[in-house]
Amino acid sequence: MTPIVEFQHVSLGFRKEPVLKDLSFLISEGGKAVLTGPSGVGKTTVIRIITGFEMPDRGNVSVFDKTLDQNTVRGIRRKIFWLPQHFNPGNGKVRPFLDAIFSFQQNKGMKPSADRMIEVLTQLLLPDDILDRKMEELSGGQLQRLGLGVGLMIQRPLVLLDEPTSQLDDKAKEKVAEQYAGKEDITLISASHDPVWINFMNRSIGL
Amino acid sequence: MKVIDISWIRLLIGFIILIIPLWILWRYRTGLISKFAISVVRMTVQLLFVGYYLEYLFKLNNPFLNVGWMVVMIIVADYSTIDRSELRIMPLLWPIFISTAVAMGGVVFFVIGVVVHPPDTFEAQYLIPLTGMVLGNCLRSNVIGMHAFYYGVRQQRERYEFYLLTGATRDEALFPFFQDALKQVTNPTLATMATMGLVSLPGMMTGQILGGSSPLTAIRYQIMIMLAILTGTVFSVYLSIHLANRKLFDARDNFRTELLKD
Repeated sequence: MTPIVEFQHVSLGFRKEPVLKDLSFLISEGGKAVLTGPSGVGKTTVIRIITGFEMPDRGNVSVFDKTLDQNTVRGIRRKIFWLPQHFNPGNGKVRPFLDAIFSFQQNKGMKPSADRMIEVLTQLLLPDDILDRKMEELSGGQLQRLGLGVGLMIQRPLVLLDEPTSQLDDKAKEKVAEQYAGKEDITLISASHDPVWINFMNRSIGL
Repeated sequence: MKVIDISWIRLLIGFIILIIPLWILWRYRTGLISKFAISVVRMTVQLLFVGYYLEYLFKLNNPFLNVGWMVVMIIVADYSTIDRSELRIMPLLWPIFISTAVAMGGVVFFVIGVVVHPPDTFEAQYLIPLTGMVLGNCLRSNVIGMHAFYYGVRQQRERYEFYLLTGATRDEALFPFFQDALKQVTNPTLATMATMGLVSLPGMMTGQILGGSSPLTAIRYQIMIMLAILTGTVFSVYLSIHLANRKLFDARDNFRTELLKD
């Protein structure tokens, strides 16, 4: 099985506080993994290392079989979709925010029609007029589902979701979990303490 | 038309009108009296210094000295720009110096060489004041533009990072922040231009008329200087942000918040 993400003896500390200590794991293609553990244990840090926003103090990280460093990080990012915790995309309407994403060179030609966008978003229980809503007026749960919707619209082989169901009710949780866990062609790494979500994953890494 | 010079005595007597604001500010216990005195004295002393210095510079009219003074002005503006944008000075001194020199210098030499076209391009009478005016406006615009851009990225950092992870290159991800900074810089100048001449006479034009120019000559200079200011400010903000980005983002396109002042 192709390794997609591998951590080898990774350690990271913030201001002399150790956050990750000698962490090693390997996730293969198609895996649906969840990082578990109490708040502050480092789940978000692991995700931010994979996205290249944090650098380990020690250890080696490989993504898609390439060592993650300043030369490979851009190429690796192009293959990842990431949703942060408490997703907050700023101000402005939803439509131009989505249009901006599909204006990037990498996404040219992949833009879903407005109808298709609405279809994806309403399946996540967002309102019909979501495209014309202002993001600063959406609730945390709606923003979270908007972010998850973007993930469904852009095809990336590695998906990183940080607490994807934290602001959703049970009905929405199941919808989201079905959509993401059901995709066989993606490798998913999530961080969560939601038992509903964890149930849909096939691999658990306790930190 | 001749200009009436103001004698030093008459100028000194002119200071008497300050009694009015001084009394009002004192009466309302604004606490501004010492600031008032310091500012007035500073302005007077600084302008006296500049006045004597420029008299001397104009008399000598040496092209190297003139350009040298331009460079000094740019360096001082350089420090002030970065400081007032609330960014760390040292890493940005060189990029901002280059962007200001290119944008402002380019505009000023174009205006003098092509539009005004005096026999001597490096004539102090034209070079120094035009540099001062365009530079002063570039300084203000760079501060507005850079502050809006970098503090905007900091405030909406998640949006920037999200764009990087949905396929954007660094420049693509920064596009909306650039848009916002440019709008904040350009809108005030456009608004000023749109009502110029209707509401009040602009300062430069007033100065020229007082100095003896005909109104028609003064307005031609005024139009030209506004074109220079509009061009210089937008161009220097564009260059400043592009050059400063090389320092403010690391090799992984991560935003280096440690280069923001607070």
